[in-house]
Amino acid sequence: MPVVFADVPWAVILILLPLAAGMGCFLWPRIARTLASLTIIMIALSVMGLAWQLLESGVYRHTVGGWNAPLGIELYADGLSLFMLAATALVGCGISVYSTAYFKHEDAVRFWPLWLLLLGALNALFLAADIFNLYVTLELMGLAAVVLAALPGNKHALGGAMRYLLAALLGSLAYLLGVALLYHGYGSVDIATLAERVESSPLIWAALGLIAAGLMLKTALFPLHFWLPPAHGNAPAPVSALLSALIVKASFYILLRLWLEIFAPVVDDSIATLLGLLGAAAILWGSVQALRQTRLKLLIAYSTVAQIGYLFLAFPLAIGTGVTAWSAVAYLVLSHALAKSAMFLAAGNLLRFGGHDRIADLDRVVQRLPLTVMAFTLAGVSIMGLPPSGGFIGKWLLLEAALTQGRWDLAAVMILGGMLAAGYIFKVLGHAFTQAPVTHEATVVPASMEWAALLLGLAAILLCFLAVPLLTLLGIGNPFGISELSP
Amino acid sequence: MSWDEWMPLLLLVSSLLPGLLIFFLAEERVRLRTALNMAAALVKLVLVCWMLWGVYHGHDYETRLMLLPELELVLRAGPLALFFVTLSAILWLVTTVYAIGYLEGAPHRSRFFGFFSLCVTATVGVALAGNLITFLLFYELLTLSTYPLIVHRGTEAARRAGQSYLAYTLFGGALLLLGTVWLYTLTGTLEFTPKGFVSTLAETDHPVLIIIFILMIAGLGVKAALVPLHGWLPQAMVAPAPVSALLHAVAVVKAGAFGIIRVVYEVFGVEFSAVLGVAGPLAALAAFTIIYGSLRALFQDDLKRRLAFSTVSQVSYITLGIAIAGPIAAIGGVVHLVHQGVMKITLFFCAGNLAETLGIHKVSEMNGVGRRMPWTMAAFTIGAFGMIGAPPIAGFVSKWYLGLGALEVGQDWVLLVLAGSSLLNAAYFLPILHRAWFCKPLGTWPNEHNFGDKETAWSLLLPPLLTAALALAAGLLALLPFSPLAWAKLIAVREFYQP
Amino acid sequence: MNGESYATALWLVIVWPLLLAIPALHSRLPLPRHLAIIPAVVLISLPADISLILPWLLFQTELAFTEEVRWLLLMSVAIWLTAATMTKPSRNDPDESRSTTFFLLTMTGNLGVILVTDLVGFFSFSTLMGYSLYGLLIQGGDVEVRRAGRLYLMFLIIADLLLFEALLLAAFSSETMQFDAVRDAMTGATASQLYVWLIVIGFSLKAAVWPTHLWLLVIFNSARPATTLLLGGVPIAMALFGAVRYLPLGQQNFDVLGLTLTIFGVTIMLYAVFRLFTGKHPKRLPGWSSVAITGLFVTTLGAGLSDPVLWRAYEHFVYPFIATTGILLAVLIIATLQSQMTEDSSVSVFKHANSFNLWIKPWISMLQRWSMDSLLLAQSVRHSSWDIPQKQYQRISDRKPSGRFFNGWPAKITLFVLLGLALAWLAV
Repeated sequence: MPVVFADVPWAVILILLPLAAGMGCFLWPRIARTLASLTIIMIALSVMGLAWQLLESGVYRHTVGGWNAPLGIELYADGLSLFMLAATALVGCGISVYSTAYFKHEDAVRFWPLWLLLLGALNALFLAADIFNLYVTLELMGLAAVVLAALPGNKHALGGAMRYLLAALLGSLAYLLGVALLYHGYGSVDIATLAERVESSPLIWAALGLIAAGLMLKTALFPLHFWLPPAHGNAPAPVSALLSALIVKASFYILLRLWLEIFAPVVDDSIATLLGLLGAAAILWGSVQALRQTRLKLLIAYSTVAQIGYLFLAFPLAIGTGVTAWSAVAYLVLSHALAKSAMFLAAGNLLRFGGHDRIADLDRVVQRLPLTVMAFTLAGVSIMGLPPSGGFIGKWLLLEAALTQGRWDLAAVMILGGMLAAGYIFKVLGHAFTQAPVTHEATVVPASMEWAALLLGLAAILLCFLAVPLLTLLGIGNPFGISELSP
Repeated sequence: MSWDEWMPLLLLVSSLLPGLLIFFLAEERVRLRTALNMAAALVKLVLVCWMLWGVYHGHDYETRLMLLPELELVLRAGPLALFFVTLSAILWLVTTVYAIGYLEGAPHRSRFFGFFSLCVTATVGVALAGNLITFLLFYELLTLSTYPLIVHRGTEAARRAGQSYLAYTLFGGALLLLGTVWLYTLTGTLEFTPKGFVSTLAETDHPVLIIIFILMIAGLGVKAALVPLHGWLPQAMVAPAPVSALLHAVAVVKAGAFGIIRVVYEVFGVEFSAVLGVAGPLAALAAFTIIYGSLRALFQDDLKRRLAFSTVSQVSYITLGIAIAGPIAAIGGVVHLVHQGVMKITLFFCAGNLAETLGIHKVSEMNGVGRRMPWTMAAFTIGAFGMIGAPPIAGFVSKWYLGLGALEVGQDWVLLVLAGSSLLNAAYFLPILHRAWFCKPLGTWPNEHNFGDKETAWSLLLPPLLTAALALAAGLLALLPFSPLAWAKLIAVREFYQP
Repeated sequence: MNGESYATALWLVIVWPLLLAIPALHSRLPLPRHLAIIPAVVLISLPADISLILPWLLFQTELAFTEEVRWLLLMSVAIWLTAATMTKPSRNDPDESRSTTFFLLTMTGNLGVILVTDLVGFFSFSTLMGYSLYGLLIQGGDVEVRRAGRLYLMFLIIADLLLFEALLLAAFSSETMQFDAVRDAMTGATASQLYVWLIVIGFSLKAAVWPTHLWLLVIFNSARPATTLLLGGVPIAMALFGAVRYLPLGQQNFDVLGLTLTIFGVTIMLYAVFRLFTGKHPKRLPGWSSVAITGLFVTTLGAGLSDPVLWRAYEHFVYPFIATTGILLAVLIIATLQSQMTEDSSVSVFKHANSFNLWIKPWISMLQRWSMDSLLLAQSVRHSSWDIPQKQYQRISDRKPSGRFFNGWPAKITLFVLLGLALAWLAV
C-alpha cells in the first residue's frame, strides 16, 4: 500500500480537484455544500499523501503534459511548499466547516465556487516552479479573493474590495514587469534555470525592485498596507480569515521563494536590511493601530499587518543564521494562519450573536459564548508569542537568530511587539469577565461555528509540541539552501 | 517510556484533566464539581507521596519530550522540585476546601475552579521544570491561568487589577524570554545543573552574562515582587480570598522566588554570581524590598493590602538568603519558601473569614473581633507572630538560619535588616492583634452572616487552623527528619553544594 | 519514683498550665489557676539534678532542675499561688476567663524560663511570658494602664530583637546552645563585647531598669492587685535571672562595661532611695523599691563583669538573692495594697479567697499584720519622729491574743534574721 500511495500524483490532485469541484459547485448549487466538504477532506488527505511522498523520495517534480522546462509547466514540491499546502489545507478545513453554517443560501451559492477556485489557485501557487505560473496563479487568487471580499454587497465591503482590487492589480502589474525583465535578461522563466543564470547587474536589481514592490503591496507590508484593514475588516468572517491567513501569505511565499532561489546570492545585504526595517516598522505601527481600534474586526486586521512584519524580520536575520531564521518564518506563517483564522472566525461568531463588533460593548456578548472566547484566547496566545503555542516557537527561533548575530534592535522590536500584542488581545479579553446582563434576545450561534474556531485555535497551540517533526518536514529538499537539515 | 518517566507527566495531568472537565460542568452541578475538585487534589497528593517515597529509595523521575531539534522539555523530580511540589499539593487541597466554602452561592464557579486547577498545573510544572525553557513555558502558563482568577469578580476594580497584573507579568515574561534565548545562544544548553552551567564561558562574555542575569532576575522579580516590580500585588487583592491565599501567598509569588533560586544556583552558580559581582546588588535589592514592603504595610488600612505588602517584604527573605551566597543562608532562604507559604496562607484565610462572615475588610473595623471569632483570630495570631519571628513558630527558624548564614559569610548588615524588618512586622501586626483581642467592638459588624453557634462555616474554619498548626509544627519540630528544615538542608547539600 | 518519672514531672510542669490555658478546658475546672501550679509544687520537693533532653523540640531543648533553680521555683510558686488567690473565680465571667488564659500562659512561660537550659528554649518561653503578661497588665485597666502597657510592649519588642541578635552571635560562636557551652564560647570570642552589650541592654529593658521604668510605676499604681503582685516576680526577677544565665560572668574581664554598669547602678539606687523618701504617696513604695533593687542588681553585674574573681566568689548567692528579691517585692506589694484598703483590717486584699480552704486564712492574716507592722515602722523611720513608734507599739500590743507570739517587734526582727541565715546556709 505505501508503495502505491507514493506513486499517486498528489500534487496534481491538489490543483485539479478544487478547480473541478469549484466548477461543480457553480453548476449544481444544490449540492455545493456537500461537494465542497468532500473536496476539502480530499485535499487534506492529499496533503498528507504528498507529505508521505516527500518523506519517502525527497523533492517532487512533476512535468505537466510531459513538456519539460523551459517550455512546459513544472510542479515542484519541497518542504516549504508542503508547509504552505498544509497550512492551506488546515485552515481550509476549518473555514469550510464554519462556512457550512455561516452563509445563507444566496450567499453560499456564490461562496463555494469562489472558495474552491481560490483553493485551487493557492495550491497551484505553492506548487509552481516558474515565475510566470506564479503570476498566473497569483492573479487568479487575487481576483477570487476580491470577489469574495465583496460578497456581502454593502457599501463598506464594496469599498474595501475596490481598494483591494486596486492594490492587487497594481501589485500584479509590478510583478509582471519584473518577470518580463527577468525573462528578457536571462531567457527563461523557470526558477531553477534562472537560479543558475543570474548574476549581479542593474537588470537584476531592477527586477528585484519591481517584484519586491509588487509583492510587498500584495503582502501589505508597511507602508503599503493601506488596503488591508478595510478589506479584511468588512468582509464576511470566513473570507476575512482566508484573506489574513492565506492570501497574504501566498504573495509572501513567492517573495521568499524568489529571494531564496534567485536573488539572495546575487544582491547585497541592503535590500535585506530595508525589508527588515520595514518589517520592524510594520510590527510597531500595526500593533499601535490595533490598540486604537474600537471595532473587533479592524483590530484583528491591524494585527495581521503587525504579524506580517515579523515575517520580514527574517530577511536581515538570515544573513548570519539562515536556517534558524527561515524555519522561524515558516513556523510563524503556519501558526499565524491557524491563529488568525481562529480569531476571525471567533469575531464572526461574536458579530453573529451580538449584531455588532464594537469592542467596548462586547461584554454582553462574550459571556454567552465561552467556546468562542476560548478560541480567541488560544489564538491570542499564539499571536502574542506566549508559550505553549506555535507562535512561541517561531518567536523563539527568531530571537535566537537575532541574538546570535547581536541584532539587539530587532530583538527589542520583537519583545515590544509581543507586549503590544498582549495589549490589544487583552483589551478584548478583558471584557470576557465583566459582569454584564444580556439585554436583547440574541441569535443562536451554531455549534459547528464555535467548534471550528476553537479547533483552529487549539491547533495553533498544539503546534508548540510538534516542532521537531514539522521542522524535519520543512527541511525536505533543502529549501533554504543550507547543507544541514536541522536548524 | 517507563513508569518512572510517566510520573511527572501524570502529576501534571492529575490537575489538568479535572480542570478541563470542570469547565464544561453546568453551574448547578455542585456535588459533581466538588467531588472532582477534591478527588483531583487527593490524587495529586497521593502521587506526590509516591514520588517522595520513590526518590527516597533512589528512583529518578524524569520526563523528556523533544521541543525543538536541540532543546527538550524536561520535567524532573529533584529534591528542590519535590519541596515546592509538596507545598503546592498540600496547600492546594486545603485551599480547595476553603474555596468551596467561600464561593458558595457565587456565580461562575465552574469557570473559577477550572482555572484554579489550571493554575495548580502550571505551578507544579514550574516546580518540576528541569531546564529553563520548560520553566519559561509553565511560568507564562501560570500568568495566563491566574488572570481569569484575578478578574473573577467582574467589577471595574477587578478588571483594572487584571490589566495591571498582565502588564507587569507579561513584561517580566518577555524579559525572561529574552534572557533565556540569549543565554541559549551563548551556551547551547539550558539544563539546570548544580553549580550552574555558565561558568565555563570566557572572560569576554562576562559583561553579557551580567546583562542576562539582570534580565532574568527582572523577569522573575516581577512575580517575586521585588521592588520596583511589585506594583501588581497589592492591586491583585481584589480577587476572592482563596485566590489571594493560594496564588499570592503560594503559587505565583513563590514561582518567582523559586525561579530566582534556580537561576542563581543552577544556572549561574552561586560562586560564579559572586565572581560576576551580581550577588551583592541582588542582596541589596532584596534588603530594600524587605524594608520597603514593611514600611508600606504600616500605612495600609485595608487588611488584605496590608498582608499583600507583607508578602512583598517576606518573599524577599528568600531572595536575600539566596543572594548572600552561603550554605546556611541558602537553607534559610529555601526553607522560608515553605514557612512563609504556610504562615501567609493562614493569614489570608483568616482575612477571608473575616470578610465573608462579618464583612470586615479594614483593620479599623476589627475591634473586638477576637471575641466573636476566637479560633480564626487564634490562627491569625499564630501566623502574625510567625511573621514577626517569635519562636517557636516557623518564621523564627527561617530568620535564625538567615541571620546565622549572614554571620557565616561576614555580611553582618543583614542582621540589621532582619532586626528592622522584625520591628516593622511587629509594628503592623501587633496593632491588628491588639484591636482584635483587647478592644471593644465598635457596634454592629458591617455585614454579618450567622452560622448558628459556631463562629463560621467548617470549610472556612478548618483550613486556617490546619495551616496554623502546620506553621507551629514546622517551627517546633524543625529538627525532625521530615521537617521542611531538614529537607532544605538536604537540598543545600545535594543540589547546591555538591562536591 | 525514679529518674524517668522525675523527668516526666519536669515537662509536666510546663505542659500542664499550657493545656489548662485553653478556654474550653479551664472554664470547666474548679480553681484552674491553683491547679496549674501543682506540678511545680511537686517538683520543688523532688531531689535536685533532674534533667530532660528533647532533641526533637525546637533546637534541641533541655530542661533541668538543679539546686539553684529550686530557689527561683520556690519564689515563683509562692508568687503565683498568692496571685491566684487574689483573683476572682473565672467560671462565668468571659473577661475573667480571658484573664485566666493569659495568667496561665504567663505562668507557663515563667516556669519554662526557669527550667530550660538552652538559649533558644529560654528565648521562646520568655517571649510567651512577655506577650501574655501584656494581656494581664491591661486587664480591666484605664487609659493610663493601657498607655503603660504599650510602653511595656515596645520595650519588650526591642529587647527581644536585641536578644535575638545576641542569640545569633552565640549560635555562630558556640557548638551547642546550652547555657554553659555558650558562656564558655563567648569568653574570648571576637564578638563577645557586642554580645555582652546586647544582653545587658536587652535584659535591662525587660527588667524596667531606669530610665525605662515608667510603665512599671504606672502599673503599680493603677492595675489590679494580682497583676501588681506578679510584676516583681515575673518580669523583673526573670530578667535578672536571664542576664545572669546569658552573660559569661566570672570568666572574662569587661572593664569598660563593668565600670559603666557599676556607676550606673549606684546612681540608680541612690536616685530611687531619694525618690522613695521624698515621695508623698505610699503607693509609690513598691515601684521605687523595685527600681532600687534593679539598680542594685546592675551594680552587682557591673562589679561581676569588671572583676571575674569577685564574681566567682559570690556567685552562689545570686539565685537565692533573686529569689529573695522576688519574695520581698511581693510582700512589699501586698503590704502597700493592704494599706490602700480601709483601716479596718477585716477587709483584705484576699477578699476573693472566700472559696479557698480555711486553713490558709490564719497564715494570710498573719502575713497581713506582719506587712502592716513593717510598713508602719518604715513610715515612722521616714518621719523621724520618736513618739510615733511608741504609739504603734501600743496599738500592736492591744491586739487579739491569737498570734500574740508574733506581736513583738524583736520577735519579728529575729525571725527575719533567722530566715536570712537559713537561706544563706541552704545556698551554700
